Amino acid sequence: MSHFEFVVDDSTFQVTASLENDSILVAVGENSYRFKTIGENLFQANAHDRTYVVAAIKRHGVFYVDVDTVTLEVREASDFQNSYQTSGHAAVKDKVFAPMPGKIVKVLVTVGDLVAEKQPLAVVEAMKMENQINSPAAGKVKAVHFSVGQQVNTITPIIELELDQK
Amino acid sequence: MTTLFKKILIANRSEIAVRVIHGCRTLGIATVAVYSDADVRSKHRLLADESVPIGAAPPLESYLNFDKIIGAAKSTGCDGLHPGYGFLAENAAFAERCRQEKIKFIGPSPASMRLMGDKVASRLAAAKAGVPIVPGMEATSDDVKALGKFAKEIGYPVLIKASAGGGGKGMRIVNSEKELPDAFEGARREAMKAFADDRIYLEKLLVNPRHIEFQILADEHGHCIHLFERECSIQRRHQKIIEETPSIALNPDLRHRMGTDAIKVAQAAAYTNAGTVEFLLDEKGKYYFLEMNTRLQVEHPITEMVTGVDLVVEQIQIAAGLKLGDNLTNLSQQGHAIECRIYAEDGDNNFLPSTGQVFFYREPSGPGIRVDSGVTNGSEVTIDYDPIMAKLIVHAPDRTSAIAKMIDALNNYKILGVKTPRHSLVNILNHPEFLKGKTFTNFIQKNLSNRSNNTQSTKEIAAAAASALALTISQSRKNDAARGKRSAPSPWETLGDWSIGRNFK
Repeated sequence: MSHFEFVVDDSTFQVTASLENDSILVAVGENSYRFKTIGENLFQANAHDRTYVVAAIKRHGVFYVDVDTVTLEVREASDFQNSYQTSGHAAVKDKVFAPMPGKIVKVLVTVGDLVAEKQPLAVVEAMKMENQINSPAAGKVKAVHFSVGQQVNTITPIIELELDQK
Repeated sequence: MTTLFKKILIANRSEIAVRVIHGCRTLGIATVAVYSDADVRSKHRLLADESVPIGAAPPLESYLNFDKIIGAAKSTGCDGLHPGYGFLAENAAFAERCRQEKIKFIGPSPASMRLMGDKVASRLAAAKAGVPIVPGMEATSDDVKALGKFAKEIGYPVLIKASAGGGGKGMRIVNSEKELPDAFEGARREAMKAFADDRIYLEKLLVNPRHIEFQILADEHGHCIHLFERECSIQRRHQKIIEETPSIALNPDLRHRMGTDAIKVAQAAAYTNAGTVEFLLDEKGKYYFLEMNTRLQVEHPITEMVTGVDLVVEQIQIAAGLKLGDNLTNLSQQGHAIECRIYAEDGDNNFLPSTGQVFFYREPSGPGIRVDSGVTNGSEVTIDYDPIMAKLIVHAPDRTSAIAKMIDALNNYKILGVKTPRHSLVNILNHPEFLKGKTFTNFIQKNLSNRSNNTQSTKEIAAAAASALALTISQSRKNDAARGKRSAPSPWETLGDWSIGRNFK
């Protein structure tokens, strides 16, 4: 079974997929889909009591998908996150994200705390490794959205900061 | 059958060039494609029996260049030339040149083209033949005051049109006297750019008309028939996007009267070959001659579907001097056909052009589904040419089932890399007003909202499909790894130049 996290437009989807004989079984939230490969980059999907022919192709790390007459771009959440963080927008620094999906094992700050740049804020466990998440900037903790034991993705911020005015 | 032509040069590109190649093949005639630098790997070039490069991408240096096209025809020994539509199809000077060079132009005579190409002269010719025309000026005018005076007489809204016009260029709707000066200047500028001719005139604007046209075939022995109507009311920027036949607005009596008048117009122009007479039909069932197109139309396939006539084949036979055949007597309209134009443009964003590489392309197929296309996997869509990539045509017993078939075919048409208006087309076809047959030329403005957000379920299916693809990719990598690097290379890959049946030099 493989786990994926995809971003489409402004929505994030946690997806699991597994091979079963000549089909691929996909679960997204409460919905399940059965994909059959009917050609190169072409699938037939059964879901919602009907059949879809879906084209999907990966180019330069982006999945381009044609569902019915709609074409969509699907990105892996980690890629999306990386491009988001490296985009250099100062505004992004007031939100702290997990670098990969995982489980919160420690929250090191509470609302109202003053934090310095690079100060550890939380620890996330992923792939059996603990990853310390450091503050991207100096400021005050405005919100903590997760507690110990919860699963996090890379799209929803764990912590929000009120940045120091310079 | 004796050969009608030895070889036909197709002075066009993309889907219509491909369509003409198919027609020539049916008749056993060899084909020569021409291609610009932008079309080196294009479908039409690859499909033709021979192909000749004709220069740089800008049309004036290639597809519109008389000398290069005539040169290509002569160097390959062509005795016929099919112009397709667009480019040189309605250029009387080019048809004249073909005649001088003893290459048969598959289309009407230069004189018919000149008469019908002049919108003012063609209106007068139609009126003289007793066919109703839209109230308007009988001559062009470069005097904005004269236009203003005339507009007041017939009443606003009015339409400024270019005498050399076509494709909505040099056309302006004027709702009041105040708007006239700007519209006048704008129309003239646009007409100058598009046709190198800034003569304009003014007509009464019909509110909410339908656009109904009749297909004509006329041989060189004085016979002329019509092959019924096509309704082309669904337009954006005065350009058609969905066409259908029969029209829901015609009854047998109206169809007969309009068809008879269409033949009158063609005969008034001593017309030969395939042509189309366009009418506007108002809500009261009154119709008016609009213009005649002296060429094959983009939407010709829907006529072919309901009549069973191959219009390109007929064009070639007429040009070869044959009389209209027995297959054209007692024609009737069988079932219902719809065409959707697959342009490279963004249906969610005002139909703005979209360019790029088509990196995934798959056409729908099945009974009653036809695709005339000029693209394939890997095709580049550039800004150099008309953005039409393909036409999707369906044929079914009746209108309701044709609409359903079209929607299903659009859902199974897969194009990635270049935006297309497939989603907007489905929205139009699914619209209650369209289903009711309330198709007027303002349909898109009135009924189609510009941008639609993707629904959550569509996004979810896309995410699911991405995971299916990701899994497939990783699985095939694993399989490759398990098999190890490919064993020994095939002899076909290591063998050098080789030959069968002749001495190797």
